[in-house]
Amino acid sequence: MTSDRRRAANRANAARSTGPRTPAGKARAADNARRHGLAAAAPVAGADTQTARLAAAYHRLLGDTAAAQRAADAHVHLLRVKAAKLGALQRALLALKAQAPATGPKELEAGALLQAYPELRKLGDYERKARSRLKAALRAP
Amino acid sequence: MSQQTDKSVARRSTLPTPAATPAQPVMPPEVRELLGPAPLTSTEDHAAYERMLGQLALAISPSDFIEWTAVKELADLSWEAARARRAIAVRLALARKPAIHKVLETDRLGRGLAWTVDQDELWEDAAAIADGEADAEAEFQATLAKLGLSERALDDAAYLTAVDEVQKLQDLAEKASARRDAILRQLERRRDAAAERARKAAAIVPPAIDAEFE
Repeated sequence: MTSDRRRAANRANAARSTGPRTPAGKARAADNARRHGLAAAAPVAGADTQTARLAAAYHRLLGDTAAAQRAADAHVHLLRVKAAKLGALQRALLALKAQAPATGPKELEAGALLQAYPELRKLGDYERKARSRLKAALRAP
Repeated sequence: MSQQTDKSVARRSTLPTPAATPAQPVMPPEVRELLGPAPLTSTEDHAAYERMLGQLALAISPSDFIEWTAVKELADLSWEAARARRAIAVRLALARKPAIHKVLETDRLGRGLAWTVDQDELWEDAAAIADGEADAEAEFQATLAKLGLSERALDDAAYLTAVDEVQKLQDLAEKASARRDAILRQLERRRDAAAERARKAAAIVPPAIDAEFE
């Protein structure tokens, strides 16, 4: 059972710990709960350049700046989802390989797909939404 | 036969020359860079993916960036569906071993040889049969016949063992296939719309051009 002394010490320690204070610490802590970032509204580093290049490619065909921008945003999102899916699969593959190094590549691949299945399924929802947004942007007059 | 003769025979060969393959459209490097890398794991064959991409490009003959995007998406989704189907085959093959083991065990017990059942030995025999070793396979076929079982019953037993896994993999394969089909339909609609615009444009023939042919 927790002693009164221990309880008082816990309270004192907790009162001293109020999270990060510097802007850099706060920025880092803001990413604590981030998993794949696919639900985030804020763009990820490097995405701006790619979005701009995709927007230019779409604009040449669509001739509509707003539609090209929407298509580029959706396309970048789709590429991120695909990268996240591959990452999940590759992580599962490496984990299985570490557990059983003698396993053949086909067996590893099958095992990795099953291990990553819950994550792949969730990412599949993001993929569907990104495709749907891309399709809508391309259909716009 | 001397080497000289070999060469002359080769020169006079009347074998048909291979048909010239049609020029394959190649994805422009700047488009390739924009559309992202091949979605392959470290164990997968990059050359096989590139062949698939090339075959799709040949079949579709993409004419602009949007159509190249469709080609890349079709290749990625076809690869994904094939990967899941390969995994189903692997898991079903793996599930055959316990099913074979069960048959071997049933046979021994049925013959009143319970005391001879050595599990390690049974698993080794099951592995040999599952790996397709000819002698073990022939003997196993005889055992199956004696027990009144068929290969189909064995496949069913293997399927039951792996059914949960197979359903998950089937789900991944079906979703990838459905997305691929949707992209094909989008491509078809886009080309139909372009053809329709071309038809309408062709119908409005300027009188000056008509006059030239009269």
